[in-house]
Amino acid sequence: MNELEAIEQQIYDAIRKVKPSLQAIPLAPETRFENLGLESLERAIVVFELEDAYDLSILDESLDTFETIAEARDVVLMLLGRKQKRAEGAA
Amino acid sequence: MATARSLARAPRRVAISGMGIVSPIGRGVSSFCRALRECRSGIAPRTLFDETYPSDPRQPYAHLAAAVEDVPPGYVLLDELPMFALDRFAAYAVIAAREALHDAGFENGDARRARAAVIVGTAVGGDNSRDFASHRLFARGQKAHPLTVVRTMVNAAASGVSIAFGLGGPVFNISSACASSAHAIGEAARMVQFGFSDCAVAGGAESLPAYTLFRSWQQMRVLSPDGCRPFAADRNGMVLGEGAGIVVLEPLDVVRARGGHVYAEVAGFGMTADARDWVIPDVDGMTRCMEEALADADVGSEEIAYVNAHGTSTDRGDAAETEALARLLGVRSSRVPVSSTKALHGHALGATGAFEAIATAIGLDEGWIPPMPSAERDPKLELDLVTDRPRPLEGDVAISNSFGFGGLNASLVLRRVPH
Amino acid sequence: MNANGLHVSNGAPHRVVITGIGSVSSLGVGARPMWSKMMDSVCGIRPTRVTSGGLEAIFPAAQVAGYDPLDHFTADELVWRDPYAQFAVVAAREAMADAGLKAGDGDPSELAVILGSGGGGEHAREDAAVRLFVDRKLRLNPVLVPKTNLQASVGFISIEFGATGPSFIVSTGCAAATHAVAQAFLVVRHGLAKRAITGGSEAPVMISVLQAFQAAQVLSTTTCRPFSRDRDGMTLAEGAGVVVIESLESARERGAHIYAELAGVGMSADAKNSVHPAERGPAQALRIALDTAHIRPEEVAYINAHGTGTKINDRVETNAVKMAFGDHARKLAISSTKSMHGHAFGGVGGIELVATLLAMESDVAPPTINYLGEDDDCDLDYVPNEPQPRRIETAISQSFAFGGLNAVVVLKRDIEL
Repeated sequence: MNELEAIEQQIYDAIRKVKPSLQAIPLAPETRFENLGLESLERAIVVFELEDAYDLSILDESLDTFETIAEARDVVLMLLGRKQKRAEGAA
Repeated sequence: MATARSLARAPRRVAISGMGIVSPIGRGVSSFCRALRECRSGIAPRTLFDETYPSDPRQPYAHLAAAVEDVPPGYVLLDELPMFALDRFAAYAVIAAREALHDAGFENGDARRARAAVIVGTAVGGDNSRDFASHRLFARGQKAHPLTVVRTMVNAAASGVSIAFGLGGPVFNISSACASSAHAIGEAARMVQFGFSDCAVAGGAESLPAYTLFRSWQQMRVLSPDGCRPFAADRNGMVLGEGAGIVVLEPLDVVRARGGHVYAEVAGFGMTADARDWVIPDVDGMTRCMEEALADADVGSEEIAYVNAHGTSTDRGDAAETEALARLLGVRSSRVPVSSTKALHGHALGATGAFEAIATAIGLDEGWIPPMPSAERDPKLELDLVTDRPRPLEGDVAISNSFGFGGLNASLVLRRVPH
Repeated sequence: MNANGLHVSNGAPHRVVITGIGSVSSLGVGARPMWSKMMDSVCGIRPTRVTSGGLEAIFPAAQVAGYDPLDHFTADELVWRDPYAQFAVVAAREAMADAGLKAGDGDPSELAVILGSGGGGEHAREDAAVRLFVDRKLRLNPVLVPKTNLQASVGFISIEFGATGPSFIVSTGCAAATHAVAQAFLVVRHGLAKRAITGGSEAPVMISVLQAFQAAQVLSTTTCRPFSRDRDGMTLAEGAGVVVIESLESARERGAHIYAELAGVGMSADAKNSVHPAERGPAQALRIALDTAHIRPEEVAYINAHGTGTKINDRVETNAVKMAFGDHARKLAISSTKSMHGHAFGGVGGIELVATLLAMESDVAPPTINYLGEDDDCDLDYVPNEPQPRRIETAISQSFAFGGLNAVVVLKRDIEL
C-alpha cells in the first residue's frame, strides 16, 4: 500500500468509526461526504479522528471543507509534507 | 404555603421584583447595564490552562472567550457558605442571588425565605471541579477530594443558593443546554402563576468549560476564532461566556401592595422541543416556541417592541432564527428592533437566558434597547438590528429567545409594568 | 384556546394519572421482570469490578442485568448514546408501549419529556478524562459535547417519539427523577401538555464516580441494608425508570389502563447542609404532598423510602416520616427497594415509582432486604426481607438528595373516574 492508499484507508476507518453501518458500503477516493449522509458534527468527528491518527491540525488550517475522500486525503498529505519539512528544518 | 386550594385558584400575574448578576461585562446589575449601554464587550483572548498541576499533559491553549473578571480565580469562598469553597459556577449563582434577594427586599431572617423556591439552570455544572478530580485520579493516582461530589454535582448552584440564604421551598436544577436558565425562569414563573409557590428565585449559572470540555467544543467547529457577530455577513461561530443571572419572581399584586419595584412582568413563556436533530436548528420549533409564548401572554405579535435574539453568531442558527422571526412577525419582521447581547457577554450556555432576561427587563423598565457592535450585515437577513448605541424601547412588550442544542427551546415574553 | 388558536393554560387543574411504566435495572430489563425479582427478594447488588485508565476497583454495585445495547440500538446510534441515555430510551419505549402509545399518536406539542439525571453521560466523560490524563492526548473528540450532554436522554426520546412539548432535564442528584415527575405533574395538571414521559436514568458505575462517593464517606463496602442495624452506606447502581402520565380526560378518551392517579407532589429544601439531611425539609415536603393530594396521613398504606442505607439518611428519614405521620408512621409499611436495585441516583426515583405502582397493583409491599435487625434509630415497619401482602390504595414515593433537596409524590388507586 503506498502512502496515498494508506491515508485513504485511515479516512475510511475514521468514517466507519463515526458511522459503523458504513462498514457494509464500499468507499473510494471519489466518494462524496454528502452522499454518506454525514452531518456537520459527524464530519467534525472524522476530522478529529484524522488529526488524532496523524497528529495534525486540520482545523486550524481552515482546510476543512473537503467534499470527497480524495480531497481529504490530499489535505492530509499536504499537511504531513509540511510537518516533515518543519521537522527537517529544525534538525 | 402551597395548598390544594391555592392550586385551584385563578392564575396570578408574575413580576420580577429583584435581579442580580455576575457577568463578563460587570458584576452587579448596574455595572452590567452600564456596559450594555456603552456597547462594551467582555470577549477577549485568554489562555486555557491551569498551571497548578505538575506533570500536567495539558498545554496552554489560546482562544477567545467572555470570562468573569470580577471574581478571583479558582474556588470561591463566600461568607454565606463558610464550610468550603465552591466551584465557580455555584459561586456565581450565590453572588448573583445575594444581590437579587437584597434588591427584592428579602433580607436575612425574612419569613418568606423559608418557603421560597429556587430553580437554577445550568448546562454543564461544576466542570472545573470535574477536571480537577479527573486529573487527581488519572494523572496522579490520588484519592478523590472529599468535596468532589458536592462541588461537581449539577445542582450545586441551586443547593448553594438554597443553603446560603435559607430558601426552603421547592429547589432544583434544570438543564436544557442553552435554554436552561430561560426554562428555569419560565418554570419558576409557572409555579408562582399557579400558586404552587409565593416566591421563586430563578435563573442560571455557568462557568467556562474546563480543558477537556473546552477542547471538545472547539473540535465541534462551532466556536469562532475571532469574535461574536450575530447576524453579520462574516459571522463564523459562537464565543463561550460564563457567569450567573438570578431574578426574584413574586405575584405582581403582592409586590405592588408593598410598594416594591417591578422591573417587568413575566407575561408569557413558551417551551418546545424540535424533536428533529441535535445540531441543526429547526425553524418550525423556534417559531412555535415564540408563538406559544405570545399566546401564553395573550399578546399579539404586533405588540412586540423588541426581540432579544438567541443570536449565537453561527451561520445556520442566525439564519434559522431570522426565518422564524419572519414567520412570527410577518411584514413587520424587518422593522422590529432586534439585538443579541451575546455579542457583548458571550454565550454563557446555562446562564445566558438569565443574562438576556435581565437585559430585556431593564430595557423595558428604563426604556432602552441594548445594542450590539455594528458589523457588516448579512444581506440575506432582513432585520432591524440595534447597533452601537441604545435605542429607545417604544412599546411595552419584548421577547427573549433561547434555542438550545438538542432542539430544546424557550421564549420569555416580558411586559413593562407602569409604576 | 385563545385568538391565535393556540392552547392556553388557564389555571383550571386537570387530574393526572399514570398509564404506562418501564424500567431497566440490576433486576433486569423490563418493569414486570423487575417486580417478579422483587417478590423473590432478589438482590441485584454484587461485587463489581471496574477498570479505567489503568486503575481497578472491586466494590458492591448494581449494574444493569441482561442488557445488550445491540438488542436496542444500532451501532451507529451507539456512537452517540452514553449508557445513561440508552437506559432512558429503553425504559421510555417500554412505558409508551405499555401505555398503548406510539410515536405520532396525538398532537406532538401535547407530549412533554421531563426526565431526571444526576450526571448525564458520565461514561463518556470518564473516557475523555482517561484519554487526556492517561493517554496524554490533547485533542478531545467533539462527540464528547453531545454525549456528556445532560439532556441527551430527553433529546433522544423527544426525537424518537416526535414529542415537541415542554422538554428538559431536572438534575437534583439522588432526587432528580422524583423532581422530574413532580415537574411533569405540574405541566400536565395545568394544561401545558396532555401527556408526559417522565422519570429518570443514570449510569454512574465507574471508577471516577466510585472514588468521589468513597471520598464523601457514604458508600457501603458490603451491601445496601436500609434501616437495618450495621448498615454502612449506599451502593452505586445504574438504570432507568420511566412512566407515562396524562390528564385523566386524555386517558379516559382513549380507554387507557390507569395504574394510579398521581394525586399530589411536594418539594422542599433543607437549606442547611450540602451532604447531611435534616428532618424538617423532608417532613415539609411530605406535608405539602399530602395536602396537594387531599390525603390525610392515615390513608397512606405504603411508602417507598429514599432509604439509601447510610447511617444518617435512614435515621433522619425515619424521624421525618414520624413528624409527618405521627402515630400512623408505625402502622404503614415503609420499605427501601434500593436494597435490591441499588442507588441509581437520578434514575432511582423512576425505578422506585414503577415499583410503587406495581405494589399498588398487586397489593403487596416490596421488602427491604439484607435486613439484619432493628436499629436504635430506625424502629418502623420496613417490610424486612420478605414481601408483605397488604391493601395499598394510597402510596408515597420519596427522594431526598445531597444539598437537602426533597421531593415526594403521592399515588392513589381506585380513583373515581
